Amino acid sequence: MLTDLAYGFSVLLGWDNLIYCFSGVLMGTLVGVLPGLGPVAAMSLLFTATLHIPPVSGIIMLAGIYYGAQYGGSTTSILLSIPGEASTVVTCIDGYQMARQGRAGPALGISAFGSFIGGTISILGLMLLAPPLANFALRFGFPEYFSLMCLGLIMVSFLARGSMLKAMMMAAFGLFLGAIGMDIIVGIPKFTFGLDILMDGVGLIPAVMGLFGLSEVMLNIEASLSQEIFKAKISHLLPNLKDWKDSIMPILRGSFLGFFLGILPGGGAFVSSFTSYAMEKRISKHPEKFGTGAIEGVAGPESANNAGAGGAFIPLLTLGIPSNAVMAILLGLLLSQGVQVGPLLLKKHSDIFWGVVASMYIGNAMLLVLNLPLIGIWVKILKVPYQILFPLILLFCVIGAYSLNYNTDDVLIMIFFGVVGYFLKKFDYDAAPLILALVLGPMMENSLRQSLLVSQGSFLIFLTRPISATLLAISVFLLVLPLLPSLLARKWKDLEKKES
Amino acid sequence: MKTHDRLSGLFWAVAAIFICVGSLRLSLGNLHHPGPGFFSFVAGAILGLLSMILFWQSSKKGPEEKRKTFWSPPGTGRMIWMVIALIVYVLGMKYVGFFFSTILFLGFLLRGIGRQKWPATISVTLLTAIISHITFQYWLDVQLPRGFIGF
Repeated sequence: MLTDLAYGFSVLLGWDNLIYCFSGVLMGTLVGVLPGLGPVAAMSLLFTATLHIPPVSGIIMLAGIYYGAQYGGSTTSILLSIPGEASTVVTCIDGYQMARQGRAGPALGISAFGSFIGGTISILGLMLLAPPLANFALRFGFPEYFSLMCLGLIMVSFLARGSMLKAMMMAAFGLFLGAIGMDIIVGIPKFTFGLDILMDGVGLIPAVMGLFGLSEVMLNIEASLSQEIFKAKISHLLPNLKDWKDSIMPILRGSFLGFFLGILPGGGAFVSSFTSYAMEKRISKHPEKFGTGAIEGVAGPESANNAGAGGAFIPLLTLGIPSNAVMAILLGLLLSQGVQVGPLLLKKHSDIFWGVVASMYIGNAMLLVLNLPLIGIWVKILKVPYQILFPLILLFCVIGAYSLNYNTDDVLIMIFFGVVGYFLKKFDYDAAPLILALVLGPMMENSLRQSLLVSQGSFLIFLTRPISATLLAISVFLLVLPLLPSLLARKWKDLEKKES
Repeated sequence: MKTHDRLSGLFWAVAAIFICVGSLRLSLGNLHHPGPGFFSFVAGAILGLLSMILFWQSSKKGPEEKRKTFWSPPGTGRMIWMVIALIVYVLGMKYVGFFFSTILFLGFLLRGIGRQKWPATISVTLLTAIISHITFQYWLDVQLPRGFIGF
């Protein structure tokens, strides 16, 4: 493994890859700091640019944006109580209270150190777990892949923000969107409405940019153009001994929890940070301190979201299945560069796997420098008014979508999805399951049709193979789980009635 | 909240019917050889079923949850103007060219929607148009629309 890691460093330590790594973490921190432009939208914007560079450089840069945004997102959460990132929402609770009490420095400091430790632990986990998991995945056939993708979509809905029912509806709609385009077996157009642009299916990048980038700008413009500007001075970034004593266990717990939650489909940074906060509050001897500026409420979630970001790479790099929207973009990049993604990636493209692992080590160290000594620069960027930022974000979205095929139709599709995303947010639907289903849809359809061809039309093939059956059983369990409390309550009431 | 869920549930139910009918027209095939409409039909059927559950759940008697207003007139107006400007920009880009259409687009957003002063509007617009044109056209080699002016 050390030889492999050394190989990864040899891939990374060429000047070009180091520059791509630095550009990625720099842009990640920037989009994390700026509210209204998350890593998903930023990665989509740069997607086209990465098609002109080798796949390993492209994935190093885009991965840097993802984990860099986890660092940067905490800055606005702590200083303005505006989460730069969904995964830093919980940091607002205690981080902002610390800033109001004049402890913005230690809050930012522990957030950066926690992120570094969480990130490093997740890289170690990725190195240790990915190779055996990839070997195990070699046993997977079409039925196993289909069942795994079913589990992935159900898990995404289970862990989604808000209603699980609505998340599942989004997944179903995403599956339909994924079916649009030329049929791979029969060769006839499906739901293309005579539009040439839909022949290859609904483009992932215009859809992501619309749903996550444009819709966010639309909502921000509608809400308000005024923005609170941070005025206080930041000093003493290094946490003191007591801060470290209070934070070290939450950091370690958050890192391990975040990593394992990150591996789950639908997991990643967002779920990890919320779960870590809830766990810290529950096990704390002073839960009443949470919400009033407890450093544990910053340290745990910040470590967890970075560890979760690292863990999310495992399903993609070992099984070829993305666990969230960010990983879906990385999958899109690898596929469009002709890289075969799946259990054989580690053997056939070891430069990509070990290059990414090595880049995460170096990237995390770069981020520590970017987010501690250079915090003043990010605070200055926060002072740029949104009235000037939003036209620039829109312009980048337009150029990003246009440059995919040098076609304005892609931009119109992005606008369409922007409007769809706006209404989805207004009606409290989470767009993440839709994006994941859009990517998994064609793969699922292929696995289903191939499985049925093999089994001569018998659905029992999904139940007679042990791995597939286990995955489906977990899926059913997750579907039933939300119904259990109400069923148990009803049963309890009936028992009480009988007894009385 | 419940009204919104009822409305959206109905919308998705109609969308599901459209998907299922379209899939039937494509042919479902059989289990040995699933046709091109099979998978989209299953997706549409699941969407339809779930949307009916949402509609049924939100139609049950119970207190209407409080919710902020759906539209906020001045802000919504701003947002609609922004989307219109975006569509006009994209459609007009082919004819006017990237550079000049970008100047008009940014100028409108900064001055008309962002209420920036003229000096800020002009400087940000020109600087952004020039930098983005050079970066994308010459550095990243993106073939931006040239229009009748030629750039």
